[in-house]
Amino acid sequence: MDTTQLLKGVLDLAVLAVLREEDGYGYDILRRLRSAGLDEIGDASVYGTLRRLFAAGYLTTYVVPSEEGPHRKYYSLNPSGRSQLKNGGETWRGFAATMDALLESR
Amino acid sequence: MNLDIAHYAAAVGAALADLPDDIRAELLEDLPAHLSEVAAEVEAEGGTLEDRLGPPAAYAAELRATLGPSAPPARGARLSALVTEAKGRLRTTDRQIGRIIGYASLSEFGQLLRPAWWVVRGYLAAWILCSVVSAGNGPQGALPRIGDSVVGGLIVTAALIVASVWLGRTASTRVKRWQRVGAGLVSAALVLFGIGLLVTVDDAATRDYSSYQEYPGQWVDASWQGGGNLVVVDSKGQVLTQVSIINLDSESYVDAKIHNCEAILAWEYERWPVLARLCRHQGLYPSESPTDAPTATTSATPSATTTTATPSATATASPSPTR
Repeated sequence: MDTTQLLKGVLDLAVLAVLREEDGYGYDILRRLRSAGLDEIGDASVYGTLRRLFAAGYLTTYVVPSEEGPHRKYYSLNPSGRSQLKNGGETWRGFAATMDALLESR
Repeated sequence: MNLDIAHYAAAVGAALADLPDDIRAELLEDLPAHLSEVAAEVEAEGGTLEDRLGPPAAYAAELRATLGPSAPPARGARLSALVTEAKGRLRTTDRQIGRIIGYASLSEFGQLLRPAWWVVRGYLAAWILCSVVSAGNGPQGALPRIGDSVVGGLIVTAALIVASVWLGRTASTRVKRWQRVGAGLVSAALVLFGIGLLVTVDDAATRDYSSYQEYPGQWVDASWQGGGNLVVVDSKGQVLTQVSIINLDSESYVDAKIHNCEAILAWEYERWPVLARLCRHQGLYPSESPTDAPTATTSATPSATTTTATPSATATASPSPTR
């Protein structure tokens, strides 16, 4: 099964999750997601998802100047984002448990 | 590298051109900044932006996917649906109106009128050309004039009508879209101009200029020393009532009898045919019996002045003064 299809539904949750411990900028978030095992994720997906989560009010941003290269825009979870992550996580766990049970019974 | 980023971002933007403006702007707002972050990382690792991110079209597709299934339909799709619907409605109306006038459709009837339009177009173009060429050299009437030569104007008109018909016959087959749009705009401007011209000419034709309007130019009486019998007319040839003439040099009233169409006797009309014609023109010719003509209308009512100042249509409504 193509994981990219699965990923579409949980991309928001994945991005919110990698921002739980530490703020990050776009490329950094992509790297974190990949190193967590979501190898097939693309830069555009992360960028687009960050834009959308920000527009939805789950993230706040700030710019950090860097000595070499361009300034970096950091994204950080705000309370609304944390509660979204909590709810989304519960939904996911319930869904995953159902799927697990379904697959177990076969 | 910056140029790469700009190119890449522009290509992504172009691939998303069908999205509604606000969503697209929202999506692309941060893209150049984000791409330069990525570029800095990519450079450090070696490679180009496109190597790392794939072609802009693929990037755009992935970006579009993050909008989720709730993303509004592409603007292009909505627009083309609207256009299709409008076209269908137009066709129906076209047929309905055509049936009323006995043709399959209004546009079919319009096709038949096209040569007539070519002729009108030539005439209008000639009119514009002539009034531009002879700007300031006399007024332009319904016939185009070169300077004040009607013949010259007609030659120009004939030439432009021939050119217009030729253009209509030859150019209608193979023209580019922008040429058709341009021609349509020019035609619309010509039609508007033509309507304006028609209104002006109609106004001029129906306005009741008195034939005495040219009196000042034709009959300047240089020998006049004051005195005598006078009639005072306004610019439209309307006889003014209740007027006096003051000589500014001598600061006194001119010693002359100033006639009008009201307090006047039949013999006076007979003696001064010009006065008779002026008054007849205003519908104020005396009735058959001279004694019926009003003799004492000296009270200066405001309406009397108004009546004489307006075109004769109002004046004719009252053949003789009421008071």
